[in-house]
Amino acid sequence: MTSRVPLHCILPPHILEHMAQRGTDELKRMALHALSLSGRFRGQREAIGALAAGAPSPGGKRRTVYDAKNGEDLPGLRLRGEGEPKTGNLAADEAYDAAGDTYDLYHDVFGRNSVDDLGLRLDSTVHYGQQYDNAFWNGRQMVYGDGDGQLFNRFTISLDVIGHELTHGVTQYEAGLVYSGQPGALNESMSDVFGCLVKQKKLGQTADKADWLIGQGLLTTKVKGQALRSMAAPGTAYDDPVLGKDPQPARMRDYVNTTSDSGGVHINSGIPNHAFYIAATEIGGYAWEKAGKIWYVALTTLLKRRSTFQNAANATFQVAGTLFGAGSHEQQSVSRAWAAVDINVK
Amino acid sequence: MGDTQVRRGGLRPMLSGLLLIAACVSPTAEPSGAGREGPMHIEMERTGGVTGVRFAATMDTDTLTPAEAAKVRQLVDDSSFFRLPARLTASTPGADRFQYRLTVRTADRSHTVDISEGALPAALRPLIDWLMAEARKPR
Repeated sequence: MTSRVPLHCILPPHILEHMAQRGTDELKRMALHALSLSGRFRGQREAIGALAAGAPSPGGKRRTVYDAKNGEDLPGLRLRGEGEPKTGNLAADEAYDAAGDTYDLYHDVFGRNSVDDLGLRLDSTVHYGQQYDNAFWNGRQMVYGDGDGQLFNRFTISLDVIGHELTHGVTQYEAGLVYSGQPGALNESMSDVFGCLVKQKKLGQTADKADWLIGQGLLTTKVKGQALRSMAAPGTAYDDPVLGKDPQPARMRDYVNTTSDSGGVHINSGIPNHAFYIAATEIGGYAWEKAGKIWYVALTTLLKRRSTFQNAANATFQVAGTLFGAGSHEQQSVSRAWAAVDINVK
Repeated sequence: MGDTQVRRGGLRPMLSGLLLIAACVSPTAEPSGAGREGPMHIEMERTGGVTGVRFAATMDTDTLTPAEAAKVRQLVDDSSFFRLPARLTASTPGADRFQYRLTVRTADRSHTVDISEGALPAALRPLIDWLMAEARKPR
């Protein structure tokens, strides 16, 4: 990254400030440079001063795992805190490790300190409910069921599912995408995107080597399917007598209008998911380094509560131009990726 | 994602425990599954959750034994189903919770309720659990 990047030309001051304060070192350098060039930003001295002071974060990685003991009271019995040894409880140790991997991706790649960027405690509850075939974010913590064992294994088995749940927290504190219709599907897609990136970073995989599956390992061997969703080929993850067929579309022309699933949030997320997959593979290399950064900056600076797929396309295109230059290979890849799912950036 | 039609045989294991209670509470169970309100038809759909997998089941009381049909009516009555609002949503934020859609139809009335998992009335749990068990069966 060099000073040739015309950051100040496109992004408004409040976004530059945000990037300068909360981005990675690379993003901070770019944002600071842009701020120093921008006479429009009234508070630049203060902003730069605060950065130079290197104000410490209120909290770091603080994980706690609880056991609901197959009940539904949260958070449940405390099993393991930050830095404590393994418990021998498989689900608890998986939840602990994966929360750490997710924290690390956000911290090391995007310079983010936990879900709220203020070091929020990462609380997880395992063994929730009886044969509960779900994992969710309840607004404050992650919750994992054991699965029924017939169709679904334990929900801590997939690193990307854990990254998915934590990302719901990030989205809640940032764009705040409402959980319905297109903003909801975008919310879901962000969780799949960053969940996938947690796994790829952990495995050290480049975009062309990754499987781009969500929930690989979660379906039992009795189910005809490889995962819950496929970002590379939405609609192909499973086709089973009990589960039915993966309902995800890959393009806008196949968008599913429905009132179920909060307006198809887990269905139409296939469209922005596929756009990210195409952008990341076209750009090449490690997906978190460029495509991931573009999506992260869009999520934390430009997207809003009611943003649509079109807004996301425009935002990621704008951010790609800011980070990598107008007309750059990265920006063109983003544009082509959205066009491939029937959305033309404006 | 076809719907599961609840069959007679499939119900018995699920209902056996509940029927013991039903026998006490409803000693005068109707002589046939139709009952005094005529046949009751129930549709259940569960969507959402991180898996995004849709499960659905339908049930008609006239395919049940009289005792089973009486139990189903009792479950519907216990939940005051026809007085529930069309939408029961949870006030808490969050993501990946289940969404339920439950419809009950009789000869003279029909009601559909959309329910977020966090707002699911305890009185509806037995009915939902039972229909979900049916929805999980291979077809």
